[in-house]
Amino acid sequence: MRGTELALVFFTVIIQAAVGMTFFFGIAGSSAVWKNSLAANKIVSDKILYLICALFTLGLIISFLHLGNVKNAFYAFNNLKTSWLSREILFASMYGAFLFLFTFIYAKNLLSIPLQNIMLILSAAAGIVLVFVMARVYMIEFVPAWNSMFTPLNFYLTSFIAGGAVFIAAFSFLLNKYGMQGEQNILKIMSAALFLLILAGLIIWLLQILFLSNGGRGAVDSYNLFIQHNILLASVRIILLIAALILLASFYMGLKKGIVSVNYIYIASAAAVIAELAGRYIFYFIFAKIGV
Amino acid sequence: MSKQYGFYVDSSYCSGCKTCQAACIDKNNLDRGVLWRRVYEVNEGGWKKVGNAWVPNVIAYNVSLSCNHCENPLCVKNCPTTAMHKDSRGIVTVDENKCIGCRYCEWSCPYGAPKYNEKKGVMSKCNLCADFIEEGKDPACVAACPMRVLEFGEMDALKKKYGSVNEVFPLPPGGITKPSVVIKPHKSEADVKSISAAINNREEV
Amino acid sequence: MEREKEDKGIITGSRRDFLKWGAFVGCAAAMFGGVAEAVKAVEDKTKPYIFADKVIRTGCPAHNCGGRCLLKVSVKEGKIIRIETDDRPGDSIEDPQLRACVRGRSYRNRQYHPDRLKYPMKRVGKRGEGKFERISWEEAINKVASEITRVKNKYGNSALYVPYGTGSYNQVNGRQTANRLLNMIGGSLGFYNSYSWACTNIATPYVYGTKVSGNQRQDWVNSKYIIMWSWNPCEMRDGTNSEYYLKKAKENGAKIICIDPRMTLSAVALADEWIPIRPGTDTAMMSAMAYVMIKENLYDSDFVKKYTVGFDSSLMPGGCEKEESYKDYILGTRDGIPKTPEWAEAITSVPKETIARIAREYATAKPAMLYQGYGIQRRAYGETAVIAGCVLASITGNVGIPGGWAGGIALQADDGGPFWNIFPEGDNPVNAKIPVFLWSEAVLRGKEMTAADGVIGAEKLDNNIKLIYAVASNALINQHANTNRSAKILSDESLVEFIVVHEQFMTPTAKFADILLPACTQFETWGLEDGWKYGDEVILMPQVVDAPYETKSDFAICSLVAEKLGVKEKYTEGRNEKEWIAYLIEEYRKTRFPDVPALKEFEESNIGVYSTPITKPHIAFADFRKDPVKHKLNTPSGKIEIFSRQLFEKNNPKEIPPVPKYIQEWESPFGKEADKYPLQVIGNHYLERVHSTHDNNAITNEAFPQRVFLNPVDAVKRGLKTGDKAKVYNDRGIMIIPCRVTSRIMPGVISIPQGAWWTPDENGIDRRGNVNVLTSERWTPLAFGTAQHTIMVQVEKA
Repeated sequence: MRGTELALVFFTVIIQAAVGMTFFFGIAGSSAVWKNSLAANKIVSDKILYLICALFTLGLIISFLHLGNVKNAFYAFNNLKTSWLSREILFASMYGAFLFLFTFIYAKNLLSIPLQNIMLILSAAAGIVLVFVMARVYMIEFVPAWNSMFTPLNFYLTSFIAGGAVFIAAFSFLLNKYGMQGEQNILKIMSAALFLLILAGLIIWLLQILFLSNGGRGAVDSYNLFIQHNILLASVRIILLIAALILLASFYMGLKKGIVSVNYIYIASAAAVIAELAGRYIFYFIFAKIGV
Repeated sequence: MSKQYGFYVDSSYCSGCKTCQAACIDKNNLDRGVLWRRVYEVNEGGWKKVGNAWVPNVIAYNVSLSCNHCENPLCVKNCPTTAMHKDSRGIVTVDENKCIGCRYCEWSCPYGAPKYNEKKGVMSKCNLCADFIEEGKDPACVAACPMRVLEFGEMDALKKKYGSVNEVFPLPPGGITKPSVVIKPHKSEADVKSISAAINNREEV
Repeated sequence: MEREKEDKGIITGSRRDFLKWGAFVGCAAAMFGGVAEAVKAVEDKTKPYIFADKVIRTGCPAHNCGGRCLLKVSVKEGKIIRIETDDRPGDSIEDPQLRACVRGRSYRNRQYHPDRLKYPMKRVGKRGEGKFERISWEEAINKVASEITRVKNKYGNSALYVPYGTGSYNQVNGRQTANRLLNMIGGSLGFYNSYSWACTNIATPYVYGTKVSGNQRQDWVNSKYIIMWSWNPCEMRDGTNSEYYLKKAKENGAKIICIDPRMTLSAVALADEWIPIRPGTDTAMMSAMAYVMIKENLYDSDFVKKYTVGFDSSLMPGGCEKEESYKDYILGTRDGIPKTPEWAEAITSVPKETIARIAREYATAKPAMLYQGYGIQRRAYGETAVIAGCVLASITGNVGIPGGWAGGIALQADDGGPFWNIFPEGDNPVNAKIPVFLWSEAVLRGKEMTAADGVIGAEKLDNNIKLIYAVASNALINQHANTNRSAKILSDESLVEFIVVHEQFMTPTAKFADILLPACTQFETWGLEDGWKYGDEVILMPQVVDAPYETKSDFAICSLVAEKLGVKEKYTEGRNEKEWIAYLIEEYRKTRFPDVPALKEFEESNIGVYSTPITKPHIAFADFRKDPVKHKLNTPSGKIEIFSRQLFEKNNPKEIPPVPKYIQEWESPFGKEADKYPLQVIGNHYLERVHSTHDNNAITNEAFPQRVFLNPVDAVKRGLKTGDKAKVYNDRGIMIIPCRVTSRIMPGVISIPQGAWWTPDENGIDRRGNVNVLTSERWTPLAFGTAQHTIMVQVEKA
């Protein structure tokens, strides 16, 4: 794998995590978390929004690392007509614009709450479309390992797993730091959701490998690359995901008893994020074409 | 499209001597590692001891390949900047002044034609020696071939002369991009198992 | 520039006469619609590039590749900026374009290589260490001249030696310039034969009485069946276009068989069938083929009776009536071993059915060619393999007919006049000559050497070699057998007391120089070449760019030494490089090429090549075939000698049998040595380089990296996979280089392409893969030739 593709690993996972977090931010919002003891929680919600913006910015910067010739970057919008990559850049820009706009008006508490909500929905929607467009970029006709519904599926799973993990970790951290209690309900929902997402992600990923092994030319090449070079990394990914599942389950059980084991969440989140990065590394590594 | 130029490759007589590759490097001043034309060596099969003899069941052949200047080039379709484009003669080339060096065309092309120019940070590829064509000459690779297995011309004429086979292993099916190439397969092409491991000179291409 | 005008000169009227491309002036004119169109086509194709100052057609600096090709070189601001090849219109089989190969087309990388030797240097470290210091030309020439004088005075001229070397091969560049120099001052020890073809060069005349045993290649299309036996024209060229003629033969319906331990590039491109054979066992397979022909009465008994001696007891030459005939040997009448396909299968690893089938096919497809490459004769008993092949050609009646092939060395031009390096060396007052492969013996024990060591021209040598004047030669270290031995011999300053080397790069041989002089490349001086073994062309090599730094042509360097030695006038005859080329063209006009244009016209035409279309290819031995009484062969019997009385009289039947016999090699998979070293090595030619020239060319290196190639069967046993570092070794040396696992070589045999530059690490392990760290200095019995392919090694994962 080239260094530029390593940049893509981080770029895609980070941007997708930002999208996932935006989504979770909306769920949390709609479940009225933010409205409970608004004054105090606004500190938390603002900080989470800043984190999303920071992640997006980081992803954007990393994305430039894989370009050979940044000075022509502006031309990348030129081919919206046929190029999914051009479209990706458009939707990434749109998502970023909505995200920053929303963060601005939310943090400054400008406009009405419904208008703020519309902005949030627009951001989340742009993000959701962005992840789909990102997936389409990789659905190249002659790359069977990428050219299937597994790619958008995995990208969305990454969004919600990595985004959810960062969100729940940040949320727990901030709640802990600012000494707020009584948000265990949302933690419960989120940890359960994350548990289910990780479980689904793991199963789908293993299914994909199974499909590759039974695929045609190109797919089998990808599978062979995986078998020859990625077994160790794949094992790490699986172990991390299982660890995250166990920790999340323990956390959830603890919550039921009124115990908030934030450390479980931190470790589970870190494990999930690293597992997603490993998964994405493998995704790029097993690139193989029908052809040469 | 008024014209579509392309190549004829007679794989049946190609020895893999790589004179085409060297001629291309010289003509286009290519750096090491940037091969606008390259030769894939396909080789598979095993050996059996029968009596006192080692008996081979071995096939090998070569495919010399540059850019096929496809009718529907995926590199052009997928290029975000339109730097990769197809001109009125059907030649697919890169506009270095637009290219961002994202290498997406490299992923997209099933023929390995677009090559990254490390020095400039942009893509580069076979331009069919457009300047030679203007002068009425053959592209450098075609004029170089000691075995005379390469030919250049308008696709209609090449197809009329040599038929329309454009997909021998390790090339992909030609239906999607419609490559502007006609290939005469080597006799052992029919026996190849079509897995990438059969390309035995990976380090050279 | 002057030449700019000259390039355009091609289109002016007066010079059209010289467009002596008979291909279209003559027979193919109609095809082109006449001369006017043809000339127009030339004009269109020869317009100078806008970006170049001048475009010059010149011969490829061909070294010793076996090809002689044409380059079209674009020059701007004194630098070569593009290299194209022959673009003469009307590329026909009678007069095909001389298209250069990957090496010629990659030449700019060599030409402008940063490692070019730039200045004269003297050794400052131990000899062979490679430590040098820049000196002036004056100091260098003084030293060379004074050493020549000192050694000459102390030991005599026979202590001086100009070794074999083929790095430059174009008249004023190359070894012959030094031979001329030493001949002007009393001569030097001479050599005969070559590394390439020692056995076939000596053995062929024993059968046919001549070396001109080849039909012209245009005749190959007349053949119905062609066996490429250890012959690989795609990789070693063996005449520009040989592979192309074979393609034409195949298109014409010929079936082509390749017999070779490697599935060569030629096998892939040309052969209908590839038959892997264990190296060094060719005579066994040939004998079994003869067995099948005799048993099934497939041989041409009329031909045998009329044109040959020694086939059976009724045809034995006078005085040898009681000796073992060829048929006796094949049927095992005397030794009790019939040379059956079963017998041969165990030796050759070729299935007995295959041997029998090939025998039948070759014997019945008339006419048929059995073309012997030279690989089979750079081996322990290479002479017998050559003769065995000639015998098969003879008993099938394929000698002297179109589409047939007599085999052997197969020269075309020997009797027709001078060829290749025709730069006059002058007479050598020292008569003694050694076999080229035995130079290291002459260093160690020259004074003991006699006819028993192949010395000719004198009873014995009166000196050991004390001074070596090496020009364009990497044969001392790199290309001679047993590199570690050669290095040890040459690093001993008490043996060879002085070594001067002309080189373009710091080759392994150059590192052993005491004085190292920078030679220019062929693009930087004048040259002239004719077709290589085949091809009736003369190719002009005008100086294309100036010699850079302080480099000079070999001729210019030798002229300086000659001046110091007081023989300048005699040496140069008042000519510079260009004037010598003009003189040599006149020599050709007097002999082989009466119509070749004189230099001025040749140069101004900027066509680069003079060629005549071959419409009626010459058939070797056609006269003899027509009337064997009137056109006797130059053998003792006047016939084809299947049994050679001359060989019989050598009285060494075990090694030099009078009929060709399979003899187990001295290093063999059937010998004891195989327990320790079970693998045979072939050091085949490789398109990365010409022998050792171009080994530093990054473009050819990229295309053909140096590897040890081995079969999956052998690789799996050793845990090796493609890309792994493999250690290859025997008692003589060790190398460690990456391997390539390929089913294109037979089990039990590995390939280490010859010519890679010896690069020993601190432990003496070669890291580049010079096969000669493994090869043996033992010579063949009859030709005193190299047997460098006869070696056994072991391979393990490094």
